[in-house]
Amino acid sequence: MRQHSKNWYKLDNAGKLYPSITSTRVSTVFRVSATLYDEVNPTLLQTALNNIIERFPYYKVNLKRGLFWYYFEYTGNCPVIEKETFYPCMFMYYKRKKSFPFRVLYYNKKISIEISHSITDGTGVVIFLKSLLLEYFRLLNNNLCLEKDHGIFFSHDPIDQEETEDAFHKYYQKHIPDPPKLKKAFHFPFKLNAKGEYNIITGIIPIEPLLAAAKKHHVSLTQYLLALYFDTIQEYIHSNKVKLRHPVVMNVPVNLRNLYPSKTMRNFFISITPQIDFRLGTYSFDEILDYIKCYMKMSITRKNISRYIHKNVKNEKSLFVRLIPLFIKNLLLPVLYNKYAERNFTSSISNLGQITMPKSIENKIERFEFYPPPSRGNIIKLGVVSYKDKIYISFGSLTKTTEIEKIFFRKIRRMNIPVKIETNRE
Amino acid sequence: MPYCPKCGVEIDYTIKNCPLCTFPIPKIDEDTNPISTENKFPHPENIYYEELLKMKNQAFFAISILIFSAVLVLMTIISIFKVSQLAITYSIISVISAWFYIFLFFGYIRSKYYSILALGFVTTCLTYGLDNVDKEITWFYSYALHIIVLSVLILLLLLYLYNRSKLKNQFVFIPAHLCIGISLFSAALECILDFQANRAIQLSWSLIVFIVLMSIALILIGLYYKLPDRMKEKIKRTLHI
Ligand SMILES: [Zn+2]
Repeated sequence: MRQHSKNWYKLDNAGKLYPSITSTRVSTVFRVSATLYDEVNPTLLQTALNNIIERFPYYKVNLKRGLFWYYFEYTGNCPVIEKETFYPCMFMYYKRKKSFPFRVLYYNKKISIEISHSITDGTGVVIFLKSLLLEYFRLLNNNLCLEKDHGIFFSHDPIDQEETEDAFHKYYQKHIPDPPKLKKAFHFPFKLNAKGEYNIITGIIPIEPLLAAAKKHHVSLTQYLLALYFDTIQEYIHSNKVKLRHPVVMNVPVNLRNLYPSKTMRNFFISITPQIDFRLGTYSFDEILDYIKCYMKMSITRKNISRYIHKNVKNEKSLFVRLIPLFIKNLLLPVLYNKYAERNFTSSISNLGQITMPKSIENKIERFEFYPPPSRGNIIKLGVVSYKDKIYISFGSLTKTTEIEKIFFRKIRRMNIPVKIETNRE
Repeated sequence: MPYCPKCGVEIDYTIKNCPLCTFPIPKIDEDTNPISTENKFPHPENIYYEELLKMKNQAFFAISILIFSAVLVLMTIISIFKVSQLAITYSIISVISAWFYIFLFFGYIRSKYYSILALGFVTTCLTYGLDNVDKEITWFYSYALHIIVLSVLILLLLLYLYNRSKLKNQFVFIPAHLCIGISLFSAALECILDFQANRAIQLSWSLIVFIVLMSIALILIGLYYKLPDRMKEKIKRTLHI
């Protein structure tokens, strides 16, 4: 185990926001899960977690309250796995003593990590889950031969100092302009669920035909799905004669580790916001695709992204913001977050990409799934992940209405691609 | 695998209606498909109510201890100092009934109707106790009991009306019912006060309240139910911007 010179660390630039805006319906907790082919052995899973958490000391923490900001304090305790009983991605009382900012759940053949966005993003948790799975299988079968790579940490690997860096601060440039401001976006007029309920609809789709369709249009899979989602919303608006007052704006988080050479295991993403105003007329699918292709190409550049990093870090560094006591921040931030963030998006789509595992255990895992965090401001969100030959598209929704999901999956079905639907709805 | 004829998507055996369009899934013979179907999700519980109850119980426990110690302190004061028994008895009665009120306020009784009845009962005990401290009943029978019975009846009526109109427009029905409740209460209250004071009933202020609030309520409900389309159109025509 490593010796820590200090027993606490600051939340990163993006993470600082999340504990303050957490409420019953805005949990800021998301889930990445893996389904195995065999029943999960809870005792082994607990041992695996105990072993692997030492490799992730920056996750072995409790959230604490400072006078001005929250902070993470290292703890000697180990997280305890739980059997899944509640709806997915529910809020955590991680501000309470001795609770971790994540939970490891198991249910039949499924192992899930639900983690607060305050500590890391999708990339971080995927590495964590993969490492946990590897440790679990290593305990299950002692003479497992494992190759390196695949973004997996072994429990005895040395810890790279770069994993704990706040990359936002590292790549912050002081004297550059802010990005343009967003305006209010279209929102789905659906009735909210009761508190504490979160509905998931996952579509399981073979990845090959989808990739082929994307390749035909010279776009990436994420861009293709994004276009499908825009088209879905257009169809919903037209078929239900919804009166539009605002453009449709999508929130697409971009993993910045591909743009900047950082190994951080904490948050490092920026949301870009493609938007289409359907008041201008009906868009053909090709028009939508063209727009998205160009938009993504223009947006995902270091120059453009640096403006967003600049704005976020500048706000955090402002002396005025820093000097506001935490309890006032907790009152103000939910309002500001709604005004400057959620209100300006219609929905969000987040793709964790293809997950790979070492050959020796690849066939012990059936699939991975990714559920986005529920939020009152964006009641329907999309989480996408692919594993082996399938892609898993999960709609997380705070409403009983399934109109959007229905149109979306029927669209894929009409392309003659098989879709299997799973849900936690009753 | 079963599939939805409308959406064309495959679905697990355990699901009866299509999760996308709620269309009933046609049954297929399960024997032909040996694939076992197990639940991918637990029957989900709602964490919100559980956490809420936990917090409520903690708060109630803390309050109970506070009240218990307050009563203990007051008893000790009586037994040791033997001073101004009257004032302290008042305090003890109030503190104990405060505990009952908090119990009811926290919603430990499920049915709202029983809650209201219990509220009336606790208030009756409290007022009787307060009046009885000097071993002489002066105002309990003449005023308190009547007013309590009256309030309970009106609250029950309001709750009943609220439950019945729950599915209709809340912006119309909640204010309308509140108006009805207050106007009934003020009228009846003045009756009681007048009768006990002068043995005669002559309404004055409550009449104004009654007329004003009742007409507001009636207008609201009337507008909601019976505004002919012709009238609606006329209003739209005159007021359109
Ligand atoms: Zn269907």
